[in-house]
Amino acid sequence: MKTIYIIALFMCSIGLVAQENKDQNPNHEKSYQKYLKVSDTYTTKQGTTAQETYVAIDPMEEKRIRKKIRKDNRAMRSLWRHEERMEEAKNTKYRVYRSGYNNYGWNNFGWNTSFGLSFGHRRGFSVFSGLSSPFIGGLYHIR
Amino acid sequence: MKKRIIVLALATVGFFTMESCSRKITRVAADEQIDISGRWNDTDAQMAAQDLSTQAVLGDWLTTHTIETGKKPVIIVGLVRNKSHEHIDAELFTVEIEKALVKSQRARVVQGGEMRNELRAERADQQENSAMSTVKKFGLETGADYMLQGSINSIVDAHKRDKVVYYQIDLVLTNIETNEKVWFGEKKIKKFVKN
Repeated sequence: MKTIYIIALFMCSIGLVAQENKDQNPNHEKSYQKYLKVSDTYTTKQGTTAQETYVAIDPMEEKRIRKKIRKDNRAMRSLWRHEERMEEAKNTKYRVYRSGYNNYGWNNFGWNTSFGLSFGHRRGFSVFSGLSSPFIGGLYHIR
Repeated sequence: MKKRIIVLALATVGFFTMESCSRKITRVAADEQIDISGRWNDTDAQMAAQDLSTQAVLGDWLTTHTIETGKKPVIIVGLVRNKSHEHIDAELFTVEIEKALVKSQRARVVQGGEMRNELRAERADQQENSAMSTVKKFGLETGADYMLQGSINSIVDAHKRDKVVYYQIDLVLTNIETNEKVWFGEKKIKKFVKN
């Protein structure tokens, strides 16, 4: 008799569980397997803030940024000049001359705006091209 | 006489130079409103934290959940997206909400993210190094009922030296099993900045 009661109770509990989950989508296992693989990428970000910021149109802020860039460039200028001179000293074949200077008989009145290859002068052959540098703000002259 | 005058003049100049260069620091109350640049600051964060935590604790969702299940809801904090134009850390107000819920004893909060990984790593370490009577078991963590997620948005309107900035923080609490949104929290802050 006792066994019958136990069996009945067991069957009832099975019935209850089945009733509870009858609305569950039969394909839930597919979804579980899919998200099980990627769960780590999401759970590690919990409690944090994703910074997806944008740049607002603000003339005053833009002015402040421009001013800061100018200030930073001014602070770095002496170092850049020093580096330039060091490079020149290391490599005399390809010398960097600041435009506006009259070097080795070049006809530089103010800015030198000529481009191209020039031969002769000091070492027989020289590579020449005009380069504009962000830190000097002028035209560079390599020959 | 001349020497004395020179020394006195130097001392005066020196005093004023030192005075102008000295940095002054004073302690102020943590809730004192100090606006310097017009950007998002501690006052905004505190206002948001206070308002949102009050909204969360006094929300009807807590009562509804307790009546339906007979248990306190368990919450986990998810990701908050900052879509504004400034760097804003949402942790300042999500932590306040957690604190308010735990202090009020109306909800339970579980750890998530990197800190949860740290806890699991410690638990794993205990399996090898701790005395058996003190080892904490795996697989007994409390599963959360709801996840707190949100976003921060802003609108900037600037012309010449004037600027209006509007921030909106939206938080939402979602039932993890059903995806049902049960609570919304919002905080709006509008600033007029004159340069």
